[in-house]
Parts: sequence; C-alpha cells; structure tokens
Amino acid sequence: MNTVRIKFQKTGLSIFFSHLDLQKVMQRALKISGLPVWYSKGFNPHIYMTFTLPLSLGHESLCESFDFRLEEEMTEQQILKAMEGTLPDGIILTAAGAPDYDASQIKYALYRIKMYGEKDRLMQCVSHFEESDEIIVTKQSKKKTTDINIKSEIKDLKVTEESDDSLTFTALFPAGTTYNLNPALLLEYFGEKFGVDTNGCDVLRVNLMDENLEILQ
Amino acid sequence: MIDNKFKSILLSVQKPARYTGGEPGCVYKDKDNVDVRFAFCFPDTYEIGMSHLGMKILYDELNKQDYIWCERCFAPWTDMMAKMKENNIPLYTLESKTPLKEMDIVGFTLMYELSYTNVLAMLDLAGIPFYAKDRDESYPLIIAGGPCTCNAEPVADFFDIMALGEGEFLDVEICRVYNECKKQGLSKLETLKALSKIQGVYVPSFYDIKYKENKTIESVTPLYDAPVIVNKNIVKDFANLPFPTDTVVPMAGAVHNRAMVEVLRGCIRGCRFCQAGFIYRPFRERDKDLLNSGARDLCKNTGYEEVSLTSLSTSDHSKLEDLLDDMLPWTQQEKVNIALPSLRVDNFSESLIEKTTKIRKSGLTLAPEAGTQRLRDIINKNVTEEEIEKTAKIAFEGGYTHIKLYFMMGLPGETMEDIKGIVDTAQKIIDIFWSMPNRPKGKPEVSISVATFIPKPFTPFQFFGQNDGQLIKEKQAYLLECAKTNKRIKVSYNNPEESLLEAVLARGDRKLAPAILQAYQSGAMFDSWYECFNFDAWMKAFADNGIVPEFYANRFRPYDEINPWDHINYGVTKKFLIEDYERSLKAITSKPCNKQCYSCGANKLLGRACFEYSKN
Repeated sequence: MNTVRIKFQKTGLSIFFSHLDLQKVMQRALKISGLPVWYSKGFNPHIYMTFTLPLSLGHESLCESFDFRLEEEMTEQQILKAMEGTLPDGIILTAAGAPDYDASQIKYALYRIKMYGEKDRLMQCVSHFEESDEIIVTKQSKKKTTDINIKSEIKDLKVTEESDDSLTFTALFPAGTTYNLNPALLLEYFGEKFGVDTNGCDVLRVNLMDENLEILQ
Repeated sequence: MIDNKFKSILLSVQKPARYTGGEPGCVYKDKDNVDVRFAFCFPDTYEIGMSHLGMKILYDELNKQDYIWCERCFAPWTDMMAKMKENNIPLYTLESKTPLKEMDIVGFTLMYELSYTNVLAMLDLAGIPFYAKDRDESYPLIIAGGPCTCNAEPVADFFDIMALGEGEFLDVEICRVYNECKKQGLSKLETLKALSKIQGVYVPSFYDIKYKENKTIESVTPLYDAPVIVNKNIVKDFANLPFPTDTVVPMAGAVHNRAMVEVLRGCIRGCRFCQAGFIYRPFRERDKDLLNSGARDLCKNTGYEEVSLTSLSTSDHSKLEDLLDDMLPWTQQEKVNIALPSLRVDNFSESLIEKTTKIRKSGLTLAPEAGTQRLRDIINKNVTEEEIEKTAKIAFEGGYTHIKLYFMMGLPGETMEDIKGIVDTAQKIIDIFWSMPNRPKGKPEVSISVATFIPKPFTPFQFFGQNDGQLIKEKQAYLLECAKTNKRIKVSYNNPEESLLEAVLARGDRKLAPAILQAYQSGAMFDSWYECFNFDAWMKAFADNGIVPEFYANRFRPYDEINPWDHINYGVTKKFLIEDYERSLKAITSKPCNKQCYSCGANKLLGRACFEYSKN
C-alpha cells in the first residue's frame, strides 16, 4: 500500500461546485479509473482521501492536490492514463506521485485576482489598500464572527496588469491547516467600499508556499 | 461561454453547479452537424430532475441518433429565476447554453400535476408564448411526455403535441417525422398532421371538445383525420431492450444519486389506488443477464457506489434471486451496494435482505397503505397483517431498528376505525421488537407517513370523489390523537390543500388552462415545494375563471359520464375499471395478473397474452 498525491487544476465550469462535491467527484473518478485503490477496512468501506487545502466555490486554482492510497505500485503515467475522461469539465490532472510535502508546511497561498469595472475605481481599491494602516473585515465561522485586521496579513500586493475595464493583482494570503484567510474577504471589502462586483472577480490560486515563501510543489 | 456578468450571477445564487452543465457523461455535438435539436426539460429543480431515470433513458436514446442532439434543461430555483429575469437571460440548455427558443423541439416531462406551473415558468423564461395557438413555425415544437399525459387536458392548450406512453422509440420517431417535415418546409399544421399518424402522438388542438350545461363533457370530435382514440406507445420486446450504461453523473446533490436499472415495467398487482400500476401495463420484465451485465457496465462507467434495481415492484421479477446471485460477486468486489427500493411485504425474504445488506445497510420502508385488512381488501393491497409482522421481524433480526411505513387516508370506504388501524399497525411492530429475545441494540422507531388519497385517471377509483379538506383534517387530528401515547411512533402527513389541488389537476379538463396560467402569473410556482405553495393564488385563479374545485375533486363521477381522458387509451378499458371498482365496493380482491387475467385490455397493446397461464 502506498500513498499517492494527485495534483490538479480546478478551472472553468468546475469552479461552480463546492469542495464537498469535489470529494465525491474524485471518489467516483477513482472508481471509474479502475485503479487498485485502497479501501478502508471498516464496516462501511470507503476510499481514504485527503485534500491538501480546500478551495472556495467560485475560485480557480493551478495547485490543488489530494492524497489517496493504492494497493500496488504504479507509475505516474499509468495513474494519469487511468484517470482520463473520468472528470467533469475544468478539472485537469497535472501530476501523480508520492506526496512531496506535508500539508502542515503550507503557510501562504499566492493568488492572482482580476477585478472588473471602471479603471479609476479599481485603482482606488489598490491605493486604499496600500495607504491604510489597517483594513478591518468581519470573518464568520460556524460559531462566531470576529473582526480582523487583514492589512497586516496580506503580503506583497502587486498590480500586474491594467486595462480600461480591469485590474489584475497578485498577493500572498495566509493559508494552511491552522490558519486561512480567504481572498474573498478582501474582495467583499472592496465591494462594500468601492462597489466592485465581488462575485464577478476572477480569483486564481497560483501556488502554495511554506513559511520561508518557498513554493511547495 | 460563461462571461463575467454571468459568472457573477451564478456565484450569487444557491448551488450554482445546477446551472452550468459540464458533468461527466454529458453529450456534446456540433450544432451545425445535427438536424434536430431537442431540449429535454424537466419542470422541477436540477436535483429532482437528475434523479429521474426516464430522462437518462431518453437522453441516451435520442443522442444515439447522429442527426439529433438532445440537451437538458431544468427549472431554475426561484433565486436564479429572478436573476435571469432581471438580467434578461433567457432559459438555456445546459450542454451548449443555447436559448430554448432556438431549439427545434422542447420536450417537457410531466411527472406530477404540481409541476404544471413550472412548465409555464420555463416557457416564460424562454420567451416562448404559453398557448400553442399563439406559436407559429418560428417557435420550437413544444411537446409533453411522462405519466401525466394520460390526462394532461388541463395543460393541453399549452402543448403542440403529447407523447403518450413509453418514449424510447416514440420520441425518436417524433424527431424523425419532424425532421422530414422540416426538410420539406411544411407548415406547423401540416407537421402536426404528419405527427398525429404516429401511434402515441396526441395533438390536443385536433380535438374539439363540447361541454354540457352541467359542465361535464358533451362530445369530443377529432379533426383532420386524427384518430378517435389515441393509443399509447409501448415497447413490445422489453425483455431485450438495452438501457443506458453511461449516464450524466451530477456533481452536485441529486436526490437519488446512484446507478439505476429498470428491472421490469408495469405491475401485476392491480392496487386500485395506483395510477402507475395501470398506465404502465402490460407487465414485462427484462432479461436477467442483460440486467446483470448492464448494471455492471453502468457502475463501471459512472463510478457510483450504489445500484438501485428499480421498478414498481422489483420483487415481482421472476428471476430476482438469480439476478442478485449473479450480481453479488462483482458488487462485493467493487464495493457497490445493491438497493431494492420497492419491495413488497408479501414476498420479502431473509435471503433478499441478506443479499442487499452485504455491503452497506440502508433504510427499510414498507407500504401497507391502509391500517385494516378490510380496507386493504377494498384497495386491493393484498398484504396481510401476518405478512407485515413477519417482515418487521425479519428486518429487526437483520439489524434494522428504524422502519418507515407508508399509508393513505381518504380511501374509498374508509372509517375512523381504519385510521386507528394505522397506529395499531405501527404499535404492533414496536411490540414485536420488544418481544424479540434476539432484538438489535437500541430502541425501535416506526415512522408512519400518511398521504391523502388522490383519485387518478385510469384507475378503478377514477370515479370516486376525494374526501373534502374538512374530513381529511378531522382524520389527521384523530390520527395524531391515536398516536400520541407512544413517542416511538412518528407521524407525518401532507397538506390537504395541496392534495385538493392535485386532485383537481389530475382529473381536470381543458377549462382549467386559463386558471393555471393566472395562478402562475400571480405567483404560483414550485407548487410541490411547501415553502413555495401558494394556495390563495390558486383559489383566486379558480374563482376568477369560474372553476369550482369540488366539481373536479370531490364529486362521484357516474360511469356513463365522458371523462376528459376517455379519448385516450392506455390499455385498460373503462369497462374493466368499472368492474374492478364494483369489486372494491364489495371488498373483493383481484389476483395478480400472473395468476388470473381480468381482461383489463392492456394485452391488446402487446398483441399477445401477458403471461403463459398454462404454467399455473
């Protein structure tokens, strides 16, 4: 029995289903693939799957992954071949192999975010972010709502592209198994303050990094 | 395909994956290389529609033809519907995101009467006029299929044609003839005339209906050589009929998200309340080897962990045990659970329960339907008290602690004694649990779900007047009173107002169309969803259009009255229905079809006897 990590992209139409749905999609895909997947031995046998870091509904990603176990040794090529045609539109597998890092190493995620609207208003968002000492947003969890200052948490916000009706920036957001900051919080803040269409933004998770800002891959 | 504005809309509504398509198993074709584009519309949410086996079958059947591209469309939930209206987004198909208006044929499946307003909502959202008479050649042909078409007279004016009976071959034939007419550049009227020659095609506008002063039907006159009686279409060789082994697998929560295999069609039981039991006659079963290999392929292609052997009464398949024996080795190896959703109390066996619970244990539901033997005899639910008790015992021995029981109230000949009998039946099951030395751990729970009986066309009870709302409320109150002493019995029942509406629509006529349209326009939609049900809108629409609901729902219909569905033939004759109703009045049961033939008439569709009676 050996653990395999499959890396994949979640793009296009596939951004509209949730993390929970994604788990079922992957479980069915593994089943269709015919791979010798290891099942838990309990009363209710199931495929043992761990997703590295959940992705919000509506966000695209180039760096998703999940782990499962195989009963036999198989090559990357064999695994990817078996998985062909088993997945919904927009889910693209990029690699399969032994897990190369532990989820607990993840500390940051690099996001590329494209906002649409009037140029001035979009520029205002960025300059407001840069000039403010603190940006307070309300974070809701199942149990409580807390006000947090996200200004100090978001690093390296850089504008990478501008046009008449859009603005693209990249930034590092805290991510990982212990603490996560959803970039949607920043976009909602921009939405409230400057009327940016939060849901219309393109949010792309580009890669994951450890505490030294080394890319995990 | 999905621009930024649309994406923003999708991310602002609940469960957006319902509106995007892209599931594994979707069929894509080049629109320039097909002749007929067909939108298969299910007038309810994605979750309900994607659980529907009929849609999977017809999607597969139509897409097998190179010249047809069948795509799916569902009713958007109210939040999405509002957003689409606000942003002028017309209703579109999921595969290619084409507006329905640009399709050749838009087919709705009518599974239940309370989805009629959703049909109107979907036409509205597509920018297609409601009434067939207001649509010229520039609009798609709007057609209906599904069980309700056995009497969809209340919505007949909205449809160009209705496809009666089984759709496998019928829908393809409709597309073929339509395509020929289209190539010849025929008018809509000429196209409808050509289509009306197909067995199973009913063109409502080809029938002129006259009413008497007392509002009943005076006469039904066919026009343009349309058949006087329209026969439903059936598949004669069902035994060898292939079924889809690769289907669209929804990503987001379909209600029944599992592989489904139809083991048989029709039903031998003849329960007098059950419309499906009569309109799907004659009984035909699929070959067991075809079922086994098809089920295996289906699981392999879809990745489902559960395969459901569906039908009206799966345990009536003559080779069911053999089939399960054949399926067990591979299902166990591939960790697929077998579900038998419609077992009968009278042939539920220990070996069946053992075979179906090998992998995972699912819930157990039994349907005694009535609380006393006398009433069960009236409705011809040939299940005895001993059988119910025996089944409960087997279930408890098999480790179940929770049993769900289905009943009805408002049945013909019902008294308060029968209502009490419902609770007594549940109580007896609980007593059995406690009396068993080898009972499972924990406490037993029996849920009784009591639906209000709705008389339906083509059943022996089609003549019977539904209990009025007041009487149903009294019966429901009495039921609760009886059940309150035992907290291990959980009672649920449905809203009598909803049942009244369903009863009106089920046996309604064409005079209802304007009222249905008005109800929709004043806010009625998703009528089968309790959070949306708007009884006041319906009552006002009925009143404004001179409709008296009691005329349709609560009145006994004399045998010689012309019913709105009398010019339609689903196999069973009115003569048989009258005879069987008479038997019910005397609490005389009928035997299952395979034991004795009562000449219901359905075998004429088959052109031979349904069973080899010499074997008995």
